[in-house]
Amino acid sequence: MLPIAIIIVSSLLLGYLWGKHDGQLKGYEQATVDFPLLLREQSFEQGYCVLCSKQIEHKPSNI
Amino acid sequence: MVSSVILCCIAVKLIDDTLDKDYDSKIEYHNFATALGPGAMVYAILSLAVAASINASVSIPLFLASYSIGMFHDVKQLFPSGLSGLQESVGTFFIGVLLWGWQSMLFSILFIFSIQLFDDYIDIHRDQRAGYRNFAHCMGRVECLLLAILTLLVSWQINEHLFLPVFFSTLLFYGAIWYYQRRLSSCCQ
Repeated sequence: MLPIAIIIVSSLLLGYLWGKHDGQLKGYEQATVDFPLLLREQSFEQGYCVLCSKQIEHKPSNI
Repeated sequence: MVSSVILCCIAVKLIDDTLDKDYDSKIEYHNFATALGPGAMVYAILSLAVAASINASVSIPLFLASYSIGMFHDVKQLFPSGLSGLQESVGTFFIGVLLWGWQSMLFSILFIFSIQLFDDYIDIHRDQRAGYRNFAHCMGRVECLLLAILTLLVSWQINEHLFLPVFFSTLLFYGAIWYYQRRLSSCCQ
């Protein structure tokens, strides 16, 4: 009974560590792709371009 | 055996509170060393001496394991002996192995490590407020809890006949102390 419990808890711990590590890598990759787009979207909504800092005359919502 | 383990727990708790006096006063957490004054260390020695007189083969390996785990928190810090925390920790463990054998020391170290991890899991917010990074901070809450359960089970596997009396004595002591300290500490009300 005890060895089985040890194997179950070890598997849970290893699975959790593996999943967390994998999730962190995937999250980082996803953020690398999404973050510049999100920044641009937010800056356009506030009326300026995040790349050249120029004011935008026609906001996307007005188009 | 139960009384021996409880007396050993009292000794460890008093020594730990003596060392953590400043840290506990920072967050207004009840500390037995502050309440007892300089007598705390004397009571700790007395308690350990009585515990060893009742059952040395259980209480001394538990005490050595507590010392070893306690030192493991400050692996790089230099202590009055001139040794680092890691060296003291490993040295104490091997002295225990030489005097009490592998099985006894391995059981004690895994059991105490498990208690330490449970304690860190429960006290994560208190330690965070005091600016202290415990095991739960370093490795994550879920990892800390799972590792605590795993080390507890492995210690049970190593010494099945010793585990239950030691576990229930520690649980009794820890539960009483936890309830008493929470009731008296202004930080946790």
